[in-house]
Amino acid sequence: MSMLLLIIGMGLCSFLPRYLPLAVLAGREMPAVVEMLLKYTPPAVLAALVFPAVLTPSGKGIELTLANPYLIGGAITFAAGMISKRFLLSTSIGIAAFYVSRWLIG
Amino acid sequence: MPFLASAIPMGIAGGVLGLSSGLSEFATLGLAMAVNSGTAQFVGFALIADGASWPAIILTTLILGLRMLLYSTILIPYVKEVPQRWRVVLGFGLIDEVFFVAIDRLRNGRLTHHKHLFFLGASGLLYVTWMTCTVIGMSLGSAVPDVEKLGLDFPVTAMFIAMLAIGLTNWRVAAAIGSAGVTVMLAHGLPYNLGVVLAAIVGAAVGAGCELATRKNAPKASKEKENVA
Repeated sequence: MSMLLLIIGMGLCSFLPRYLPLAVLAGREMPAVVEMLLKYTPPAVLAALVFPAVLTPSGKGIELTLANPYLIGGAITFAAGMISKRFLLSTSIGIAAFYVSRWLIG
Repeated sequence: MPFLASAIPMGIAGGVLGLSSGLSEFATLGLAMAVNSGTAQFVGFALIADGASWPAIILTTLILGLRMLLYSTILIPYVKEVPQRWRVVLGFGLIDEVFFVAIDRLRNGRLTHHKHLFFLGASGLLYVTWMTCTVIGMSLGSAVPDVEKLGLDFPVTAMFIAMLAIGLTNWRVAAAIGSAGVTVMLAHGLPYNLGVVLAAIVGAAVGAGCELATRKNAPKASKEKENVA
């Protein structure tokens, strides 16, 4: 029974953040400051997820070395994105770079 | 669709992980169907296996949901003419892969008619694939190696980085990214991944603050409205 509640709770927690903005915010004028905050929230959230994933992939301190495939793959994805401004292209290049450097590092 | 191909091993791994974390078949599939989010599902299984308390599990799911909050916020301008009941379906089906494919097409102007039908098709297809693979994974048992060893966690990170790079069009965005990045690294000791929430708030505030400062100096600049993601 408690497992059922946990599943329902997790379901709601992953559904509501996706649905509420679509339901409530769409089609309304928002105050300029709120609009500005919303504009910078995506890059801020992305940065908050990306920095640890790339710098501390194993969760054991910062790995700022060439032996860290996450860092190499991440840097190449970023460079490709800055140059090409194309999503699928830069993601594919980055993922390829990640696996190649993983394989080289062994 | 390359994303469909990446969903297959992830879905299978999810099924394996669910059983090995001590859940029943029913609970594993139920959880996968209810959350419809690979990341939330994987983290959930890991926490359940660790014997984490349910408030910690729920809170972590919510924090992971922040990402979804940003997807739906970005999509707001595109759903104005979509009826409310359709938005429920769109919201449920709004996962990383669907968002990336959809936003790409919406921005290129390649998707103008029947947007919600495109969304429904893409998310429905991924949903069915994911659940099928979960069942396959459960039947395979523990024969499949773990996700981290294969580096299957990198593709999602690469998608995020590409989004960051494409959205990085001015110094205010760079300030938001930099401040959020520094905050999250400094705050890594906080429990329940609260550092991510804190960093998101700091980054958004820094970006908005920079924009406010420039607007005061140059009122003409208030006309610009760039897409950041």
